Amino acid sequence: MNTGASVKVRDLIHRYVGQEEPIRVSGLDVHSGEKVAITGPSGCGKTTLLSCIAGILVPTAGEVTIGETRIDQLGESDRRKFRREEIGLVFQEFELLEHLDVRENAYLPLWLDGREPSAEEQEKFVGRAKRCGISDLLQRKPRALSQGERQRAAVCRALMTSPSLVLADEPTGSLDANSGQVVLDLIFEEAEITGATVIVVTHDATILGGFDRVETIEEDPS
Amino acid sequence: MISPMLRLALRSLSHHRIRSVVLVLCIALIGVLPAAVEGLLDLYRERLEARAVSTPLVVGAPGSRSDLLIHSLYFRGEVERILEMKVARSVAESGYAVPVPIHLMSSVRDHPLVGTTPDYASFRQFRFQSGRWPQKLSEAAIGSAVAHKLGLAVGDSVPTDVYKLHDLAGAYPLLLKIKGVLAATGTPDDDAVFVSLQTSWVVSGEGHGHQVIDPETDFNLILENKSSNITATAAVVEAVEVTPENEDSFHFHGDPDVLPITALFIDANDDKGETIVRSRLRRDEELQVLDSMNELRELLAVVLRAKAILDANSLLVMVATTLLLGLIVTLDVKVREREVRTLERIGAPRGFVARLLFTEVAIVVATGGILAFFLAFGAIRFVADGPLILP
Repeated sequence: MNTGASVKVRDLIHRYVGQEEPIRVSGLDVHSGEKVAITGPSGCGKTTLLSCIAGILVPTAGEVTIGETRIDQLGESDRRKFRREEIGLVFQEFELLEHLDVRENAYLPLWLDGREPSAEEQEKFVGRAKRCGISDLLQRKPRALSQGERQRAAVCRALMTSPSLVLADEPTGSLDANSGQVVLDLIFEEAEITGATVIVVTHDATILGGFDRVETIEEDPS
Repeated sequence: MISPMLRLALRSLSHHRIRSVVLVLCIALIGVLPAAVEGLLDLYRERLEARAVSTPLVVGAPGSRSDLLIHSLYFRGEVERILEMKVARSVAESGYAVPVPIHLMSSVRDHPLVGTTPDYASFRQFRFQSGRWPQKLSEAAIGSAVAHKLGLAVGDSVPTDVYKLHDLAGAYPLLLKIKGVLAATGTPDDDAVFVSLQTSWVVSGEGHGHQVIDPETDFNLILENKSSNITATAAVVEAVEVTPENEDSFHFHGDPDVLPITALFIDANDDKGETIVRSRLRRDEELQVLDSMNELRELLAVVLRAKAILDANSLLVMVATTLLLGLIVTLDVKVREREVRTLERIGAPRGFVARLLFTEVAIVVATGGILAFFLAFGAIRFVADGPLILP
C-alpha cells in the first residue's frame, strides 16, 4: 500500500491575467491518508487552489508542498511528471477522451509516460473496474456510457498510477444525488486500498458526511 | 509492439475516420498524378526508344519528320505526301538492304490496316499464336490485341472500315480473311492488322475487282469501247470480297512502280550497307531519310518540356495542399482543445500533444503516399501489360 502524501499550502496568492483581485488562501494542511472536503462560495478560489496543488497552475506567491516536494518551485516538465506519477485527478466533466474506450482511457496516464501497463497494473485495473461496476463496459467509448459510468471510468483512470494524492474537482457536480454518492464512495474505497490522501472540492453539502474534515474557504473580503 | 503514441494517433484517426479518409485520398490523388506521369513517361520512353532502335532508318516523302516517324513506327496519323514503289525497288536493286514498304491508309474497326511485304514479319521477328502471314489477296494477320478486343481468330472474316464514304469512284470495304494471329510483342504491332501491299492498295482504291463486262450483252455498262480498252460506267458492281470466282478479276491500273507507299523501312545487311543506302537516298530531294532514334529524342525533348510545366503545376498543388493540411491541423487543434487540455491536465509531457499531432499527420501523409504509389504502380502495370498504343 502506498503512503498518502501530506499537503501544505501557505499564504497562497494567485492572480489570473486581467483579474484585479487575486485569489488568496492563507493556509491548508492535509495529513497523509486524510479525506478532506474543501467548500466555499462560488468564485472563492476552490478550483484555483486545487489547480495549484496539482501543479496545473503556478501560484503568484505562497508555498505548496506535497509530501516533501515544493511543487510551486518545480519547472513545467517536472510538475507534469509529478502530476502524472503522484496525483490522480477527477474532474466535474469527467474529461475522458472520446476516441478511446474505457480501458484505454484508464491506461492513458501510463501511455503519457510512454509505457504500457505491467501485468500487475492490468490486474489491479481489472479489480478496480469490477469494484466500480464497469468491468463489462471496458470496450465501450465514453459516449456509450451514462454520466455515472463515465465518472466511474474517470475514477479508474485517476487511480491507475496508484497516486499518493487524489484531487477531485466537483466530482458529483454533473451527477444525480445517488450516482454522486456512489462515485464518492468509490473514491474513498479505492483511496482506502491505496492509502492515498483525498482532497475533494465541492459545493454539495449533502456529500460532506463521509470526509474526515471539511475546510471552508471564505471569499476574500477585500 | 505498437508504441503508446502511435496507438493514440491511430485511435484518433480511426475515430475521425471520414476526415482521415478524405485527407488520405486528397494526398493520394495529389501524389498519384506526378508519380504515374513519371512512371508512364519512363515506360513510354523505354518502349518508344526500343521501337526506334529496332527501326533505325525510315524513308518517307518530304514533310513533317515527326508525322512520318509516328505514322511509320507507331501507326498513328497520316503523312502529307506518299512515296512510290520505285524507291523500294531501287533499294532492293542496290543489294545492300532489304526494303520493307509500309502502306497505311485504312483501318479495320479503328485498328490500323498495314499493307506490307512478308519482309516486315522477318524484320520484326514475329511469332504466331496461330496461323500464318497473309499470302494472298484479302488475307490478313492480326495483332494479339486486335484478336482480343474484337474476338477474332483464324478463320474469321472482318471488313475494312469505310473511310471514303462520299467518294463514288473510290474505295469500298473489303472483307478480310484472317489467316494468322500474332504473338504479343508489347508494341503497336499488337494493335494492327497486316495485309499484303496489294490488299491494302485494293482497300485504298488503287486496284479493284469487278464483274466481268461482256461488250455484246452489257452495252448499258459501257461508256466507251475501243479495241484496246473498254471504259465502264459506275454502275459496274465492284467486288467487296475476294472469292475463287472473282479472284482473277482484281487488277491495278498503271505502272507498278508508281503504286503508293507511305513509308519505307531499310533493313540493311550491315553497317556499311546502311551507310551507303542512307547516303544514296539522302541525295534524292524527293525523299527524306529519318534516323529514328535522333528524331524520337527530339520529339521526346518536346514532351519533356511539357512535362516540366506539369511538374511545376504538381509542385504548386503540393505546396497548396501542404498549406491546407497545415490549416486543417491548426483548426483540428482548436476543435480538439478539450482533448488537448485533458492531456495536459493529467500530465502529458511537454511537446507530447505536438508530437501526437505530428504522428497523426505523418500517418495520413504516409498512407496517402503509399496509396498514391500503389495507384500509380497499378496504372503503370496496366499500361505495361498492354501494347504501346499512342493516343
